[in-house]
Amino acid sequence: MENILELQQVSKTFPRSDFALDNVSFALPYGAVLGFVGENGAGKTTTIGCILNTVNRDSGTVKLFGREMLDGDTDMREKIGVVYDGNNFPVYWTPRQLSKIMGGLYKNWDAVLFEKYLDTFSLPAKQKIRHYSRGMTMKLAIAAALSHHPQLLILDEATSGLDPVVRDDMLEVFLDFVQEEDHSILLSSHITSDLEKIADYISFIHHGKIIMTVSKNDLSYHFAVMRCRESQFCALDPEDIVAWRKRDLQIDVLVSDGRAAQRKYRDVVVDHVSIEEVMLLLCTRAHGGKSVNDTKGERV
Amino acid sequence: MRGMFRNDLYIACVNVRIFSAFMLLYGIFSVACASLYYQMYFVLIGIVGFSVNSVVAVFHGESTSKWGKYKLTLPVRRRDIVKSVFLSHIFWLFAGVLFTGTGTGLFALFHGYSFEQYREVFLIFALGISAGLLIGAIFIPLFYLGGEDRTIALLTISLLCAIGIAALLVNVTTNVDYLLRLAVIFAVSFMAIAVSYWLTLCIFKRKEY
Repeated sequence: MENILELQQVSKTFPRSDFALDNVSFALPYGAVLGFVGENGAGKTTTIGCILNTVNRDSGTVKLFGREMLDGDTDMREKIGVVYDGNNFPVYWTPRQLSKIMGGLYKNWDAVLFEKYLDTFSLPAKQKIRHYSRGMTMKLAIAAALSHHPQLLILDEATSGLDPVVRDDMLEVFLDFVQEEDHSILLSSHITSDLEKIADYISFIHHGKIIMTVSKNDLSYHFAVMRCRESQFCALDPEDIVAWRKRDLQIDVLVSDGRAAQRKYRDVVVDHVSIEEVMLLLCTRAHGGKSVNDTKGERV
Repeated sequence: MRGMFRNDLYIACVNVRIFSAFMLLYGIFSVACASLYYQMYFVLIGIVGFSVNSVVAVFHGESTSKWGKYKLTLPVRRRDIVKSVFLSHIFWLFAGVLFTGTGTGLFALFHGYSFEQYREVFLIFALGISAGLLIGAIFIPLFYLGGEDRTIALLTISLLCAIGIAALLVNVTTNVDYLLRLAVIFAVSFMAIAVSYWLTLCIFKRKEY
């Protein structure tokens, strides 16, 4: 399967802090949505910065549309729409001014489509962005990102801080976008419920390292969590354990094949697992749990 | 580049409009007073003010939003972003020259100048243009180097240094032929902006958001 975005061993160190991206690798196929999930400070924004060249990576390769994107590759950036969390544009602009400016920057800027989005999202075209609510600001950024007919959307926490109604509207727009076979979305978020709804693949990042990349189908139909007592936990084969977390009265164990685990450990409760729970199991250390540093599950 | 330049113009417009209104009132006042000193201050403040407004406005837009980072995701090269900032600065500088030139013309129409006074007026214009160019030459690379957090301090330093350097240029060329004096002042100022552009390019190519 061809990939619209491919990261290979991307690393970046920040000398003034102890944070570093460590050999981040994942790929996003055409026509798919990749959910990029991690806790605050995990490295999601830094990874996106390395993809878009707003951060200079120390090593590794990033390929977009099959080749590396350099500063002079403006034709590639024509095909990418970006939305950051917060104010993407100066607050004293109006959407009309924004449209004029974007029209001078993008060859394929579609002012009619932009006006249509303004109308659909109920955004006043002549009002300054400073008077917009947070939800309106994000809708405007999404409208701007979609109005130059991109192939790839990169959304960095674009739905954070939005109420559930607005978030649902935006997810519908994103699902609509990927109906085209050559359109893809990289959606970074710590709101796992959004990813449950639209992602085809999930990549988990923790402390600058990719700890797992898996298809959502695999997560839903194969991965499971076993709720064990301590004695049951001690009887588990270590090979079956992807990650575990000790809670008050039980130990939750993530397994890659729930059905096999059910057959093997008949006295243990095996539950379906959500993305949020997988994230907690993979990332936690504070509760005595173990995290995996190598990738488990199916690589994309 | 067109969109980038339009972006920088739009951003500066908001502030320049308010400043222009103030300068209009001051211009009317100086013409009414028939004072050459007020008229010279009108020229200096006008040209320098337009320049300062343009640089502050562009970078204020970046520090109050993620626009600085967002620009790098647009189909423009980093070089074009820097070029647009400098072009916008020079554009507003000359807008300031035009504005104050019109005021000076009106002053000359109503009150007239002696020959010596004409030479002084042109020298004041040269001082203003020099200071305006130097403000941009100093502030723009400093901003990209020093970050959005220190905008006010950097602007203050740039303003003081620019006016100081421009005044120094005028003073050290006192005994030089008048036309050569103007040529030296303009040459040094334009060279400073050229060096500043090259320096800013080097800084901005490595800048991370």
